[in-house]
Formats: sequence, C-alpha cells, structure tokens
Amino acid sequence: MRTVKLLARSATVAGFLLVMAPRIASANHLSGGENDQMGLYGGIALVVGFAGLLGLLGLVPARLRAAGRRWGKWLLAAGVVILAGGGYHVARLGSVEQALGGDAYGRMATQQIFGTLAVFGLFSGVAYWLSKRTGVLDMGEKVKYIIMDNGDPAERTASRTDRPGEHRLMLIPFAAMGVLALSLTSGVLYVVLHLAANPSHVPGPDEHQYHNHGQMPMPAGTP
Amino acid sequence: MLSKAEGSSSRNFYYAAVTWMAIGMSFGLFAATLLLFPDLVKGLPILDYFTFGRVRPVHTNLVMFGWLSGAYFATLFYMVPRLLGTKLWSERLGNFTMIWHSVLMTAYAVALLSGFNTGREYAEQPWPLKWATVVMFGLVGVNVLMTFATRKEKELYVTAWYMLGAVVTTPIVYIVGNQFLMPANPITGVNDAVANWFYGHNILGYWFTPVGVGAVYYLLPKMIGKPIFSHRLSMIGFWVIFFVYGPTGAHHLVNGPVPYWLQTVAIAFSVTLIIPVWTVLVNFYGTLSGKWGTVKESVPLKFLVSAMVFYFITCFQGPMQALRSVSAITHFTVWVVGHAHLALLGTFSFIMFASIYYALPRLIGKDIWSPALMDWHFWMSLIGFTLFFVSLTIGGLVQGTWWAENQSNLFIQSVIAMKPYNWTRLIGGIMILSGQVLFIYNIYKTARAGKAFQLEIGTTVKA
Repeated sequence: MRTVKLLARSATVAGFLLVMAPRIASANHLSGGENDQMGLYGGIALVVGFAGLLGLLGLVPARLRAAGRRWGKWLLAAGVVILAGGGYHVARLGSVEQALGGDAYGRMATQQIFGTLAVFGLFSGVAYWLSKRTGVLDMGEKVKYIIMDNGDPAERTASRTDRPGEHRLMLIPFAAMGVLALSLTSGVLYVVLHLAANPSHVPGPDEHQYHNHGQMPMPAGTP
Repeated sequence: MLSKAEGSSSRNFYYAAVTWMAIGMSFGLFAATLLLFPDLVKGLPILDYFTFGRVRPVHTNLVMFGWLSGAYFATLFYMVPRLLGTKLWSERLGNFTMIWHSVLMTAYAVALLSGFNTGREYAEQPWPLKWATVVMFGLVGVNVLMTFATRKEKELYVTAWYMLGAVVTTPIVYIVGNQFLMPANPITGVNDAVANWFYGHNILGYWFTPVGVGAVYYLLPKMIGKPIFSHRLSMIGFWVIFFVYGPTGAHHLVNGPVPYWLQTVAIAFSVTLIIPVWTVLVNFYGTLSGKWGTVKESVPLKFLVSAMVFYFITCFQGPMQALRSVSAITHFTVWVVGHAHLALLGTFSFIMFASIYYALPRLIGKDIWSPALMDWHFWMSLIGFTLFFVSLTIGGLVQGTWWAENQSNLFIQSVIAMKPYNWTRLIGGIMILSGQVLFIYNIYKTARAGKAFQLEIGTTVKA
C-alpha cells in the first residue's frame, strides 16, 4: 500500500512538473507548426503505464499475476519517465519555434490547458468524493454475480465446456486485430513518408496564392 | 398499440428498429450507387429529391437514430429492468415512445429529402424536429430513471452504470451541440463548428459507446455462463470513458481555424481513450478464457467477438487520425467515412444484432426460426463490411495523397482514381444489405412461425 501511495504521489509530482517546467515548450507545442512526437511518446507511455497499472492491481490473467505484481510498479514508473522524457525532448525540438512564438502567447495557451485540466480535475474529484460517500466504490467483485442470477435465462451454449485445443480460437480475433492495426499503421506511414520524400509535389507559391486568397484570374464578364 | 404487457415496448422497438435499418441502409446503398453513377437521377422529376446531397443525410440520420437508437431503446427497456430486479416503469410510455420515434423518423426522411437541412453533420434536422428528438430521449430517460428509482436490486452491475450514464448525458450533449434547439442559431462561425463536433463526436461517446459496451457486459456472461473477468476493471473503464470523452470532438477540426490549444487538448484526450478500450477488451478476453469453443456454436457470440475486433480497430484508428500529420492527409477523405462505419456498423450494429438474437426469443417466447439464416446473416455482414471498410480506408489514403500532391490542379484525377474503391464499397454494401434482408426475414418468420423458445431440452418459456 505504501508503494502504491508513493507511486501515486510521484506520478502527481512528475505530471505537475511536466506541465509546469517546459512552459515555453508547451506554448510552442500549442502555438502551431509542432510535430506529433508528443503523441508518440504519450501513446507509448500510456501503453506501458497502463500495463503496469493492471499488473499492480492484479487485473491480469492468473498465470501473469505474480509477474504483474513484481514488474507492475516498474512499468508504471517507466510510463511516467517516457512521458516526462518525451515532453522534455519535444520541448527541445520546439526551441526553433520558440523564437517565432512569443512568451505571452505561450503563457495564455498554458493557462488554457491549466483551465481545462482544472475543470476536469474538479469534475473527477467531485465524482470520486460522491462515489466514496455513497459506497459505490466499495462494491466488490460480488456485484458481477448479479447477472448470473437475475431471472433472465442464459443461452443454451452457456453450459458448453471447451474441448481440447479450442482455446486456440482466441488467436483468430487477436490476429485480426494485429493485422488490421499493422496495415493501418503501415499504410499511413507509407503515405506520410512518400509525401515527405517527394517535395516536388508540394504546390508552388503561385498555386498557394490561388487557393488561399481567391486571387485566381476570373473569366471576362464575371461580376 | 399502447400495450401494458411486460416486454411489449422492448419487442416493438426491436421491430421498429430493424424496419428503419432496412430503410436507412437502402438509402446508404443508393448513395454509394450515386457515387458511381452521378447522373442516375438527372432529369427524372420525382427523383430530383434523391440527389446525393439529400440521400446521404437521410441515410446517416435513419441508421443513427432510426436503427441504432431504436435498437438501443429496446435494449435499455429489456436489460435495465432485469438488472434492477423490477419491471419497466411504464410499458405504455415505452410503446408511446416507439410510435413517437417512428413518426419522428418519417419526418426526418421527408424533411431531409425535401431539402430542409441545417448543414451540420449528424444534426441536419430542422429545429422543430430537434425538439421532437429531445422529447424522444426525454421520454426514454424518464422511463429508465423511474425504473432505477423503483429498483429492488440495490447494487448496480456495470451494464446499469453504462446505461444510466448514457441516458443522463445524451440529452445534454444533443441540446448543447444543436444550437440549444434555437431556430436563430445563436452560435456562429468557428464556434458553431466546435459545438457541432462536441455533439457529433460525443453522441458516439456518450450514447452509442456506453449502451453498446453495456450490452456486451450483459450478453457475454449470458452466452458463456460465466461472470465477467473483473468488475473493478469495468468500472475503471466506465468512469474513464465519461471523464475523457468530453473534449475529443475538436479533433475533427485539427489543422482548421480553431484554437490550437483546443486541438491539442482534443488530441491528448483522444489518445487517452485507449484506456477504456483496454478495460473492455481485457475484460472481454478474460471472461471468454476457457470458453472459446462456444464461439463455434453461437452466432450472437460470433457477432460480439467481431464487434470487439472492430471496436479495438475503431479506437486504434481514432486517436491515430486525430494526430495532426495523419489528419492532414485523411481529413475530408473517405477514410473518415470508413472510420464512422467501423464504429456504428462494425461495432455497435453488430452488438445490436447479438442483442436481438438474444432478447427477442425471450420476449416473444419463440426460438429464432432459422439458425442457418443467422449464420448467413453473420458471414454476409462480416465479409461485406470488411470489403467496405478496407476499400474506404485504402481509398481514403489514395484520395488524400492525390490531394496533397496535386492540390486542385488535377482534382478530377483523384475522382477517377477512386473508382475501383467505390465499386468495392458498392459490392460490400450490397452484401451487407442482403445480409440484413435475410436477418429481417428471419425475424419476421420467428415472430410468425417460430417454435416455442427452449432453454434446455424439454423446458419452454412463455412470452
């Protein structure tokens, strides 16, 4: 329990520092023209951190439970480190834009982020407090058995037991998810990299002029 | 018609929903046909009302509100009382809501085909119909909330949480996102777009997702005879979804003229949505552990497993396309159309097919007439939808590349390049609709000629 509390405090402090420390960097991230690397870091951090949290809470299959308890806190800490380190890295990358942005705009944007976080933090806090007070959070795992005995008859298939080897059927949806996710990612990466490698296709200034400002020459007689 | 019989409103809503599904999907197929034959209705007097610009919103509105929402109302009326150990507060009110719903959907179709369109995505209805829509959600809300108020079961199963959350938040999302139901449009310009997408995305997050996910948590234990893997995990998912979904709508406006901080917040929260998805998937697979063989023998379970695969992909694709560099290519392309169908058809409609196959026999006391037709329904829907989704996704990337490379210089080339994808989309659409025709026929025959519903051999249940 002490470890969990310590981790929770550390995560809070790290999160606070992350938002506070690279203030100008955050501003640059918000002021336009930034890259998407923070999304990448955030995504990896979320995956790693959440896996750790599940392990720590014992919410993994039985055979992984011991490993989950042992490694969970480290995965969670790794998630926080990736998030904080990623934020720092992106902040460094944003230093070019810093010159173009301006501190005042940056502070304004940071305050807006804080405003949003404050509203959501407050909302979550009130909900948590209410849930605590009403005892909802103390409803243990026994709640899940309500469904088994609510008078609504189960399907005939419910009493069927697995035959040897049938557990391998689970690989089909896993494979489907993997193939689809991989295809989506590689498709998008291919297009992004293809466009980046072919700058000749990027429209010239004349084309921009027509598209952006409506200065395309109009036919004679057009009002 | 305004029967007081137990389960009548749920049953009638299921019948109405599948009818609206057939009509709504037919409009979708017709719209897909128009993309290949744009002059199909040219010069034909009555068909002037069936141009793409009019047909498309009829399709989206009828499948979202006629089919899916209708099926959701039926599912709420079926599952909520059974979870709370009581009866639905008012079957008569439920049946009245069903009639209101069908009249409203007819009005949607007539108004949109006549050209009355506010020009806002998923909110195209004229303002009097928006009021009528809120009344519809209000009537359902009163019935569900009063059922909660009179419940005998004090502890709430996760499905009850999800459904309660959906019923409470949806009218708020709808009213805020629809110009506060005012005819004078008090929100204008960029703010209008922000409010529109607050609604456009959150109708998915606060209505379609919670009821769909809640239904999965109900159906899965019933199909495999085993409680869910973790109640605590399911509750983490529930609370995260309701806290995180709110600001994600602005990711539809990434790279647009809305404040950058708003875009960034939307992107960050979109990525965080991965957490509730994990909770649902971990619970789903954890619950199915040791019972995978059941999938071979249960069509509703096949629908659920497919829905979970598509749910994962929806929530993988969503945060990805919220990123600025990806959005720069995919925005406005058919990729987004594929994504929307992935959620509403591949995930939530599949869950509703499973719900109907599960609930209807219990409501009318008759077994599904033809298990073979159920199987056909599943495979035609799955293969048709996969074709449909893959063609739109690849087509979207091709379209986006053409636009990025050539801007409008060679725009017509991008239209020509889309032809094979539009054909595949049409073929997929024909397969999907054909599957639904078999489904409706099976439902019709079940109601008319189905055998008495049996739990185990020799045990029958009366409606």
